[in-house]
Amino acid sequence: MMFVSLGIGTVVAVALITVVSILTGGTVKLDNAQPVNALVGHQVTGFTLGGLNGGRVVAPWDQGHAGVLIFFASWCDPCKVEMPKVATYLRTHHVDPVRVVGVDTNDARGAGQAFVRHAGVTFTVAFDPNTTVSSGIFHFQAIPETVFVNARGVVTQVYVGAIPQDQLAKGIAALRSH
Amino acid sequence: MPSMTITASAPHTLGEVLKGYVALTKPRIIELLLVTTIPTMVVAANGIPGLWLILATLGGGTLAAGGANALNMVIDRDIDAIMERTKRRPLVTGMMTPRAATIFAFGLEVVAFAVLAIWVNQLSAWLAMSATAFYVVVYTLWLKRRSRQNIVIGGAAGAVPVLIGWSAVTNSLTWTPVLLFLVIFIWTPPHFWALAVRYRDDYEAAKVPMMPVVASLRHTTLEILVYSVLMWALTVLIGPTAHLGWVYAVSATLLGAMFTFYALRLYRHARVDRADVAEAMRLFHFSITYLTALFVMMAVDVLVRLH
Repeated sequence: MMFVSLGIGTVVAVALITVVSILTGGTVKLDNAQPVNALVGHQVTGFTLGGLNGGRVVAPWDQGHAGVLIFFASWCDPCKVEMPKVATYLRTHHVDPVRVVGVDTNDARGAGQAFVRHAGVTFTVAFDPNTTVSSGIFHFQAIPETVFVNARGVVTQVYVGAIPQDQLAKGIAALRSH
Repeated sequence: MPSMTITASAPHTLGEVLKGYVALTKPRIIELLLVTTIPTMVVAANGIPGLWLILATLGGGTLAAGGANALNMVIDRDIDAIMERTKRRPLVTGMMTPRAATIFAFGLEVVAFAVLAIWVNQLSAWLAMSATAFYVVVYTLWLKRRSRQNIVIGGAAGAVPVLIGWSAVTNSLTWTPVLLFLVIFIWTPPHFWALAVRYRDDYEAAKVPMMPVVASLRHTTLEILVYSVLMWALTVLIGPTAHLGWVYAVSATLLGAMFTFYALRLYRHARVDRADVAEAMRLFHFSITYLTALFVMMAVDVLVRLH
Protein backbone atom coordinates (compact mmCIF):
# COMPACT_ATOMS: atom_id res chain seq x y z
CA MET A 1 0.00 0.00 0.00
CA MET A 2 2.87 2.32 0.80
CA PHE A 3 4.34 1.65 -2.62
CA VAL A 4 1.10 2.45 -4.39
CA SER A 5 0.73 5.76 -2.62
CA LEU A 6 4.35 6.66 -3.26
CA GLY A 7 3.95 5.67 -6.91
CA ILE A 8 0.97 7.95 -7.24
CA GLY A 9 2.96 10.60 -5.38
CA THR A 10 5.78 10.38 -7.93
CA VAL A 11 3.45 10.72 -10.88
CA VAL A 12 1.74 13.69 -9.27
CA ALA A 13 5.10 15.27 -8.47
CA VAL A 14 6.32 14.98 -12.06
CA ALA A 15 3.03 16.38 -13.35
CA LEU A 16 3.32 19.29 -10.90
CA ILE A 17 6.88 19.99 -11.99
CA THR A 18 5.80 20.11 -15.61
CA VAL A 19 2.94 22.48 -14.81
CA VAL A 20 5.17 24.72 -12.67
CA SER A 21 7.80 24.81 -15.39
CA ILE A 22 5.23 25.72 -18.04
CA LEU A 23 3.69 28.42 -15.83
CA THR A 24 6.91 30.00 -14.58
CA GLY A 25 9.11 29.42 -17.60
CA GLY A 26 7.83 32.46 -19.43
CA THR A 27 6.66 32.48 -23.03
CA VAL A 28 8.60 31.92 -26.19
CA LYS A 29 8.53 35.16 -28.16
CA LEU A 30 6.80 34.67 -31.48
CA ASP A 31 8.23 37.70 -33.21
CA ASN A 32 11.77 37.83 -31.96
CA ALA A 33 12.78 39.18 -35.33
CA GLN A 34 15.02 42.21 -35.32
CA PRO A 35 16.71 44.15 -38.07
CA VAL A 36 20.42 43.33 -38.21
CA ASN A 37 23.10 45.00 -40.22
CA ALA A 38 26.06 42.62 -40.57
CA LEU A 39 25.85 42.72 -44.35
CA VAL A 40 24.34 46.15 -44.72
CA GLY A 41 26.42 48.46 -46.89
CA HIS A 42 28.32 45.61 -48.49
CA GLN A 43 28.18 44.67 -52.11
CA VAL A 44 27.14 41.07 -52.74
CA THR A 45 27.77 38.91 -55.79
CA GLY A 46 24.94 37.93 -58.09
CA PHE A 47 23.61 34.44 -58.62
CA THR A 48 21.57 32.28 -60.95
CA LEU A 49 19.45 29.55 -59.43
CA GLY A 50 16.88 27.15 -60.80
CA GLY A 51 13.28 28.16 -60.18
CA LEU A 52 11.33 26.15 -57.62
CA ASN A 53 8.76 25.43 -60.33
CA GLY A 54 11.26 25.29 -63.19
CA GLY A 55 13.05 27.92 -65.25
CA ARG A 56 15.92 30.08 -64.01
CA VAL A 57 16.03 32.89 -61.52
CA VAL A 58 18.71 35.58 -61.78
CA ALA A 59 19.59 37.96 -58.94
CA PRO A 60 17.61 41.20 -59.56
CA TRP A 61 20.71 43.39 -59.25
CA ASP A 62 22.41 41.37 -62.00
CA GLN A 63 19.71 42.79 -64.27
CA GLY A 64 19.86 46.31 -62.91
CA HIS A 65 16.91 46.00 -60.54
CA ALA A 66 16.68 46.49 -56.82
CA GLY A 67 15.46 43.33 -55.14
CA VAL A 68 14.02 41.79 -52.01
CA LEU A 69 15.06 38.22 -51.24
CA ILE A 70 12.81 36.33 -48.87
CA PHE A 71 14.54 33.19 -47.61
CA PHE A 72 12.37 30.38 -46.28
CA ALA A 73 11.96 26.59 -46.08
CA SER A 74 8.96 24.33 -45.79
CA TRP A 75 10.21 22.87 -42.50
CA CYS A 76 10.60 26.26 -40.81
CA ASP A 77 7.72 26.96 -38.41
CA PRO A 78 7.88 30.77 -38.40
CA CYS A 79 7.96 30.70 -42.22
CA LYS A 80 4.53 29.06 -42.15
CA VAL A 81 3.23 32.09 -40.30
CA GLU A 82 5.16 34.61 -42.35
CA MET A 83 4.68 33.45 -45.93
CA PRO A 84 0.87 33.69 -46.36
CA LYS A 85 0.95 37.28 -45.03
CA VAL A 86 3.84 38.24 -47.29
CA ALA A 87 2.11 36.56 -50.26
CA THR A 88 -1.12 38.45 -49.58
CA TYR A 89 0.70 41.77 -49.31
CA LEU A 90 2.60 41.25 -52.56
CA ARG A 91 -0.55 40.17 -54.43
CA THR A 92 -2.24 43.40 -53.50
CA HIS A 93 0.57 45.96 -53.84
CA HIS A 94 2.68 47.24 -56.69
CA VAL A 95 6.38 46.99 -56.02
CA ASP A 96 7.82 47.86 -59.47
CA PRO A 97 10.62 48.35 -60.27
CA VAL A 98 11.70 46.41 -57.20
CA ARG A 99 11.70 42.66 -57.77
CA VAL A 100 10.73 40.28 -54.99
CA VAL A 101 12.25 36.83 -55.09
CA GLY A 102 11.49 34.03 -52.65
CA VAL A 103 14.38 31.67 -52.02
CA ASP A 104 13.41 28.18 -50.86
CA THR A 105 16.57 27.10 -49.10
CA ASN A 106 17.87 23.84 -47.60
CA ASP A 107 14.64 22.17 -48.61
CA ALA A 108 13.19 19.35 -50.69
CA ARG A 109 11.64 20.51 -53.96
CA GLY A 110 8.28 18.77 -53.51
CA ALA A 111 7.86 20.10 -49.98
CA GLY A 112 8.80 23.61 -51.10
CA GLN A 113 6.33 23.53 -54.00
CA ALA A 114 3.50 22.44 -51.71
CA PHE A 115 4.51 25.13 -49.21
CA VAL A 116 4.33 28.05 -51.69
CA ARG A 117 1.11 26.74 -53.22
CA HIS A 118 -0.47 26.53 -49.80
CA ALA A 119 0.75 30.02 -48.87
CA GLY A 120 -0.65 31.52 -52.09
CA VAL A 121 2.70 32.76 -53.36
CA THR A 122 2.53 34.43 -56.79
CA PHE A 123 6.00 35.99 -56.93
CA THR A 124 9.12 34.31 -58.34
CA VAL A 125 10.64 31.63 -56.14
CA ALA A 126 14.18 30.32 -56.60
CA PHE A 127 15.28 26.91 -55.35
CA ASP A 128 18.44 26.83 -53.26
CA PRO A 129 18.66 23.26 -51.94
CA ASN A 130 22.38 23.39 -51.23
CA THR A 131 22.21 26.86 -49.62
CA THR A 132 24.71 28.20 -52.14
CA VAL A 133 23.00 31.59 -51.95
CA SER A 134 21.72 31.64 -48.34
CA SER A 135 24.95 30.36 -46.78
CA GLY A 136 27.38 31.02 -49.63
CA ILE A 137 26.54 34.65 -50.33
CA PHE A 138 24.65 35.81 -47.24
CA HIS A 139 26.23 33.60 -44.55
CA PHE A 140 22.87 32.84 -42.95
CA GLN A 141 22.62 30.90 -39.74
CA ALA A 142 18.87 31.21 -39.55
CA ILE A 143 15.71 31.53 -41.55
CA PRO A 144 13.39 33.17 -42.25
CA GLU A 145 15.47 36.14 -43.30
CA THR A 146 14.68 38.93 -45.70
CA VAL A 147 17.38 40.87 -47.52
CA PHE A 148 16.95 44.19 -49.33
CA VAL A 149 19.50 44.82 -52.07
CA ASN A 150 19.65 47.92 -54.28
CA ALA A 151 20.17 47.91 -58.06
CA ARG A 152 23.94 48.14 -57.64
CA GLY A 153 24.03 44.96 -55.52
CA VAL A 154 24.58 46.70 -52.19
CA VAL A 155 22.65 45.31 -49.20
CA THR A 156 20.52 48.05 -47.69
CA GLN A 157 18.76 46.05 -44.97
CA VAL A 158 18.64 42.54 -43.50
CA TYR A 159 15.70 41.37 -41.46
CA VAL A 160 16.09 38.23 -39.35
CA GLY A 161 12.94 36.30 -38.50
CA ALA A 162 9.41 36.54 -39.83
CA ILE A 163 9.10 39.99 -41.35
CA PRO A 164 6.01 42.00 -40.39
CA GLN A 165 4.05 43.61 -43.23
CA ASP A 166 4.96 47.18 -42.29
CA GLN A 167 8.67 46.36 -42.28
CA LEU A 168 8.38 44.74 -45.70
CA ALA A 169 6.47 47.74 -47.04
CA LYS A 170 8.99 50.16 -45.55
CA GLY A 171 11.93 48.28 -47.04
CA ILE A 172 10.36 48.14 -50.48
CA ALA A 173 9.44 51.83 -50.35
CA ALA A 174 13.03 52.71 -49.47
CA LEU A 175 14.32 50.78 -52.45
CA ARG A 176 11.75 52.35 -54.81
CA SER A 177 12.60 55.89 -53.76
CA HIS A 178 16.20 55.56 -54.97
CA MET B 1 25.56 20.22 -44.33
CA PRO B 2 24.91 23.93 -44.14
CA SER B 3 23.39 25.24 -40.99
CA MET B 4 19.86 26.53 -40.71
CA THR B 5 17.93 27.29 -37.63
CA ILE B 6 14.48 28.42 -36.75
CA THR B 7 14.37 31.81 -35.14
CA ALA B 8 10.84 32.00 -33.88
CA SER B 9 7.96 29.69 -33.51
CA ALA B 10 4.24 29.35 -34.01
CA PRO B 11 1.98 28.69 -30.98
CA HIS B 12 1.83 25.07 -29.90
CA THR B 13 -1.02 22.92 -28.64
CA LEU B 14 -0.91 21.40 -25.16
CA GLY B 15 -0.30 17.97 -26.67
CA GLU B 16 2.70 19.26 -28.60
CA VAL B 17 4.10 20.92 -25.50
CA LEU B 18 3.74 17.72 -23.43
CA LYS B 19 5.41 15.76 -26.21
CA GLY B 20 8.15 18.38 -26.13
CA TYR B 21 8.70 17.77 -22.42
CA VAL B 22 8.98 14.03 -23.04
CA ALA B 23 11.46 14.68 -25.88
CA LEU B 24 13.45 16.86 -23.49
CA THR B 25 14.32 13.73 -21.49
CA LYS B 26 15.73 11.88 -24.57
CA PRO B 27 13.67 8.72 -23.97
CA ARG B 28 15.66 6.67 -26.49
CA ILE B 29 18.85 7.11 -24.49
CA ILE B 30 17.06 6.25 -21.25
CA GLU B 31 15.86 2.98 -22.80
CA LEU B 32 19.47 1.96 -23.28
CA LEU B 33 20.29 2.84 -19.68
CA LEU B 34 17.46 0.66 -18.41
CA VAL B 35 18.50 -2.23 -20.62
CA THR B 36 21.75 -2.49 -18.68
CA THR B 37 20.21 -1.88 -15.26
CA ILE B 38 17.78 -4.81 -14.98
CA PRO B 39 20.23 -7.61 -15.90
CA THR B 40 22.77 -6.11 -13.51
CA MET B 41 20.17 -6.31 -10.75
CA VAL B 42 19.59 -9.98 -11.61
CA VAL B 43 23.33 -10.69 -11.42
CA ALA B 44 23.58 -8.79 -8.13
CA ALA B 45 20.63 -10.65 -6.62
CA ASN B 46 21.77 -13.97 -8.08
CA GLY B 47 18.10 -14.39 -8.94
CA ILE B 48 15.13 -12.17 -9.63
CA PRO B 49 14.97 -9.09 -7.41
CA GLY B 50 11.66 -7.89 -6.00
CA LEU B 51 9.36 -6.29 -8.55
CA TRP B 52 8.94 -3.13 -6.49
CA LEU B 53 12.67 -2.72 -6.12
CA ILE B 54 13.09 -3.04 -9.89
CA LEU B 55 10.32 -0.52 -10.56
CA ALA B 56 11.65 1.95 -8.00
CA THR B 57 15.20 1.67 -9.35
CA LEU B 58 14.10 2.06 -12.97
CA GLY B 59 11.70 4.88 -12.05
CA GLY B 60 14.28 6.82 -10.07
CA GLY B 61 16.95 6.16 -12.69
CA THR B 62 14.66 7.29 -15.51
CA LEU B 63 13.80 10.53 -13.74
CA ALA B 64 17.45 11.28 -12.97
CA ALA B 65 18.60 10.52 -16.51
CA GLY B 66 15.68 12.52 -17.93
CA GLY B 67 16.65 15.53 -15.85
CA ALA B 68 20.29 15.22 -16.92
CA ASN B 69 19.29 14.97 -20.58
CA ALA B 70 17.03 18.02 -20.26
CA LEU B 71 19.88 20.06 -18.77
CA ASN B 72 22.11 18.87 -21.62
CA MET B 73 19.54 20.18 -24.10
CA VAL B 74 19.36 23.54 -22.33
CA ILE B 75 23.15 23.92 -22.51
CA ASP B 76 23.50 22.57 -26.04
CA ARG B 77 20.55 24.36 -27.63
CA ASP B 78 22.89 26.61 -29.63
CA ILE B 79 24.70 23.73 -31.33
CA ASP B 80 21.55 21.60 -31.54
CA ALA B 81 20.11 24.39 -33.68
CA ILE B 82 22.99 24.13 -36.11
CA MET B 83 22.94 20.35 -36.46
CA GLU B 84 20.47 18.76 -38.88
CA ARG B 85 20.05 15.73 -36.63
CA THR B 86 19.03 17.78 -33.60
CA LYS B 87 17.37 20.88 -35.02
CA ARG B 88 13.90 19.62 -34.19
CA ARG B 89 14.61 19.35 -30.47
CA PRO B 90 12.03 21.19 -28.38
CA LEU B 91 14.31 24.01 -27.24
CA VAL B 92 15.38 24.66 -30.82
CA THR B 93 11.85 24.86 -32.15
CA GLY B 94 10.77 27.05 -29.26
CA MET B 95 8.43 24.53 -27.65
CA MET B 96 9.40 25.89 -24.23
CA THR B 97 11.83 28.42 -22.86
CA PRO B 98 15.25 27.36 -21.59
CA ARG B 99 14.13 28.53 -18.18
CA ALA B 100 11.08 26.24 -18.21
CA ALA B 101 13.27 23.33 -19.25
CA THR B 102 15.74 24.08 -16.47
CA ILE B 103 13.02 24.19 -13.83
CA PHE B 104 11.63 20.93 -15.21
CA ALA B 105 15.07 19.29 -15.14
CA PHE B 106 15.89 20.25 -11.56
CA GLY B 107 12.40 19.17 -10.50
CA LEU B 108 13.00 15.74 -12.03
CA GLU B 109 16.30 15.43 -10.18
CA VAL B 110 14.65 16.23 -6.85
CA VAL B 111 11.94 13.62 -7.40
CA ALA B 112 14.54 11.11 -8.67
CA PHE B 113 16.60 11.54 -5.53
CA ALA B 114 13.53 11.17 -3.33
CA VAL B 115 12.33 8.04 -5.13
CA LEU B 116 15.74 6.35 -4.94
CA ALA B 117 16.47 7.43 -1.37
CA ILE B 118 13.03 6.40 -0.05
CA TRP B 119 12.39 3.21 -2.03
CA VAL B 120 15.87 1.97 -2.84
CA ASN B 121 18.76 3.28 -0.77
CA GLN B 122 20.93 6.33 -0.22
CA LEU B 123 23.90 4.89 -2.11
CA SER B 124 21.85 4.49 -5.28
CA ALA B 125 20.37 7.96 -4.88
CA TRP B 126 23.81 9.57 -4.58
CA LEU B 127 25.18 7.54 -7.48
CA ALA B 128 22.36 8.84 -9.67
CA MET B 129 23.03 12.42 -8.62
CA SER B 130 26.76 11.97 -9.27
CA ALA B 131 26.05 10.64 -12.75
CA THR B 132 23.85 13.66 -13.48
CA ALA B 133 26.47 16.09 -12.22
CA PHE B 134 29.18 14.32 -14.21
CA TYR B 135 27.12 14.28 -17.40
CA VAL B 136 26.15 17.93 -17.14
CA VAL B 137 29.35 19.47 -15.77
CA VAL B 138 32.20 17.25 -16.93
CA TYR B 139 30.77 16.09 -20.25
CA THR B 140 28.39 18.78 -21.50
CA LEU B 141 29.93 21.92 -20.05
CA TRP B 142 33.59 21.00 -20.00
CA LEU B 143 34.66 18.30 -22.45
CA LYS B 144 32.10 18.13 -25.23
CA ARG B 145 33.22 21.26 -27.06
CA ARG B 146 36.89 21.10 -26.10
CA SER B 147 38.26 17.60 -26.26
CA ARG B 148 38.28 14.88 -28.85
CA GLN B 149 38.12 12.51 -25.88
CA ASN B 150 34.73 14.06 -24.99
CA ILE B 151 32.63 10.93 -25.19
CA VAL B 152 35.39 8.62 -23.98
CA ILE B 153 35.37 10.31 -20.60
CA GLY B 154 31.79 11.58 -20.73
CA GLY B 155 30.66 8.03 -21.45
CA ALA B 156 31.29 7.24 -17.79
CA ALA B 157 27.93 8.87 -16.98
CA GLY B 158 26.12 6.38 -19.19
CA ALA B 159 27.87 3.51 -17.44
CA VAL B 160 26.70 4.49 -13.95
CA PRO B 161 23.26 2.79 -14.25
CA VAL B 162 24.94 -0.60 -13.69
CA LEU B 163 26.43 0.73 -10.46
CA ILE B 164 22.98 1.95 -9.46
CA GLY B 165 21.40 -1.40 -10.38
CA TRP B 166 23.98 -3.27 -8.32
CA SER B 167 23.81 -0.98 -5.31
CA ALA B 168 20.02 -1.04 -5.40
CA VAL B 169 20.12 -4.77 -4.68
CA THR B 170 23.16 -5.07 -2.43
CA ASN B 171 23.51 -1.56 -0.96
CA SER B 172 27.23 -1.86 -1.71
CA LEU B 173 29.68 -1.89 -4.61
CA THR B 174 32.18 -4.64 -5.40
CA TRP B 175 34.51 -5.44 -8.28
CA THR B 176 31.79 -7.05 -10.39
CA PRO B 177 29.74 -3.86 -10.93
CA VAL B 178 32.96 -1.97 -11.59
CA LEU B 179 33.82 -4.45 -14.34
CA LEU B 180 30.33 -4.08 -15.84
CA PHE B 181 30.82 -0.33 -15.64
CA LEU B 182 34.05 -0.76 -17.61
CA VAL B 183 32.26 -2.78 -20.29
CA ILE B 184 29.84 0.07 -21.00
CA PHE B 185 32.63 2.61 -20.64
CA ILE B 186 34.60 0.90 -23.42
CA TRP B 187 31.47 0.22 -25.49
CA THR B 188 30.55 3.94 -25.60
CA PRO B 189 33.30 5.35 -27.86
CA PRO B 190 32.83 2.95 -30.79
CA HIS B 191 29.05 3.38 -30.43
CA PHE B 192 29.16 7.18 -30.64
CA TRP B 193 32.02 7.43 -33.10
CA ALA B 194 30.09 5.27 -35.56
CA LEU B 195 27.22 7.76 -35.25
CA ALA B 196 29.64 10.67 -35.56
CA VAL B 197 31.07 9.24 -38.78
CA ARG B 198 27.55 9.47 -40.20
CA TYR B 199 26.88 12.98 -38.83
CA ARG B 200 30.42 14.30 -39.22
CA ASP B 201 29.34 17.38 -41.20
CA ASP B 202 26.81 18.24 -38.50
CA TYR B 203 29.40 18.13 -35.74
CA GLU B 204 31.85 20.04 -37.89
CA ALA B 205 29.31 22.80 -38.55
CA ALA B 206 28.62 23.02 -34.82
CA LYS B 207 32.38 22.96 -34.10
CA VAL B 208 32.09 19.96 -31.78
CA PRO B 209 35.47 18.19 -31.82
CA MET B 210 34.12 14.68 -32.28
CA MET B 211 36.80 12.22 -33.36
CA PRO B 212 35.75 12.05 -37.04
CA VAL B 213 35.84 15.86 -37.21
CA VAL B 214 39.31 16.39 -35.79
CA ALA B 215 40.98 13.16 -36.93
CA SER B 216 40.87 11.39 -40.29
CA LEU B 217 38.14 8.84 -40.88
CA ARG B 218 40.86 6.24 -41.31
CA HIS B 219 42.14 7.06 -37.83
CA THR B 220 38.64 7.19 -36.32
CA THR B 221 37.63 3.82 -37.69
CA LEU B 222 40.93 2.36 -36.47
CA GLU B 223 40.17 3.61 -32.96
CA ILE B 224 36.70 2.12 -33.25
CA LEU B 225 38.30 -1.20 -34.15
CA VAL B 226 40.80 -1.02 -31.27
CA TYR B 227 38.04 -0.29 -28.76
CA SER B 228 35.96 -3.13 -30.20
CA VAL B 229 38.76 -5.64 -29.70
CA LEU B 230 39.42 -4.33 -26.19
CA MET B 231 35.73 -4.63 -25.38
CA TRP B 232 35.62 -8.15 -26.80
CA ALA B 233 38.56 -9.19 -24.62
CA LEU B 234 37.19 -7.48 -21.52
CA THR B 235 33.69 -8.95 -21.84
CA VAL B 236 35.08 -12.47 -22.18
CA LEU B 237 37.62 -12.08 -19.39
CA ILE B 238 35.20 -10.70 -16.78
CA GLY B 239 33.05 -13.85 -16.90
CA PRO B 240 34.92 -15.78 -14.18
CA THR B 241 35.44 -12.68 -12.00
CA ALA B 242 31.73 -11.87 -12.16
CA HIS B 243 30.90 -15.52 -11.40
CA LEU B 244 29.17 -15.94 -14.74
CA GLY B 245 28.99 -19.29 -16.52
CA TRP B 246 29.21 -20.72 -20.01
CA VAL B 247 25.98 -19.14 -21.31
CA TYR B 248 27.52 -15.74 -20.78
CA ALA B 249 30.96 -16.81 -22.01
CA VAL B 250 29.60 -18.15 -25.31
CA SER B 251 27.34 -15.11 -25.80
CA ALA B 252 30.11 -12.62 -25.06
CA THR B 253 32.46 -14.41 -27.44
CA LEU B 254 29.99 -14.53 -30.33
CA LEU B 255 28.62 -11.02 -29.81
CA GLY B 256 32.13 -9.59 -29.51
CA ALA B 257 33.15 -11.38 -32.69
CA MET B 258 30.22 -9.82 -34.56
CA PHE B 259 30.96 -6.37 -33.17
CA THR B 260 34.59 -6.66 -34.20
CA PHE B 261 33.57 -7.95 -37.61
CA TYR B 262 31.41 -4.86 -38.25
CA ALA B 263 34.15 -2.58 -36.91
CA LEU B 264 36.71 -4.28 -39.14
CA ARG B 265 34.49 -3.85 -42.21
CA LEU B 266 34.05 -0.16 -41.42
CA TYR B 267 37.81 0.25 -41.03
CA ARG B 268 38.68 -1.61 -44.22
CA HIS B 269 36.38 0.56 -46.32
CA ALA B 270 37.52 3.82 -44.74
CA ARG B 271 39.96 6.23 -46.32
CA VAL B 272 41.48 9.43 -44.95
CA ASP B 273 38.46 11.60 -45.71
CA ARG B 274 35.86 9.07 -46.68
CA ALA B 275 34.01 6.28 -44.89
CA ASP B 276 31.10 4.08 -45.82
CA VAL B 277 28.22 5.78 -44.04
CA ALA B 278 26.01 2.70 -44.39
CA GLU B 279 28.68 0.57 -42.70
CA ALA B 280 28.96 3.13 -39.92
CA MET B 281 25.21 3.08 -39.28
CA ARG B 282 25.21 -0.73 -39.41
CA LEU B 283 27.80 -0.74 -36.64
CA PHE B 284 25.88 1.92 -34.70
CA HIS B 285 22.64 -0.06 -34.81
CA PHE B 286 24.40 -3.32 -34.04
CA SER B 287 26.12 -1.72 -31.05
CA ILE B 288 22.68 -1.20 -29.48
CA THR B 289 21.64 -4.78 -30.22
CA TYR B 290 25.00 -5.91 -28.87
CA LEU B 291 24.69 -4.18 -25.53
CA THR B 292 21.10 -5.33 -25.07
CA ALA B 293 21.92 -8.94 -25.95
CA LEU B 294 25.09 -9.02 -23.83
CA PHE B 295 23.26 -7.90 -20.71
CA VAL B 296 20.19 -10.03 -21.33
CA MET B 297 22.42 -13.09 -21.73
CA MET B 298 24.16 -12.14 -18.50
CA ALA B 299 20.79 -12.35 -16.72
CA VAL B 300 19.87 -15.55 -18.56
CA ASP B 301 23.18 -17.06 -17.43
CA VAL B 302 22.33 -16.40 -13.78
CA LEU B 303 18.75 -17.64 -14.11
CA VAL B 304 19.75 -20.82 -15.96
CA ARG B 305 22.15 -21.78 -13.19
CA LEU B 306 19.44 -21.36 -10.56
CA HIS B 307 17.71 -24.45 -11.91
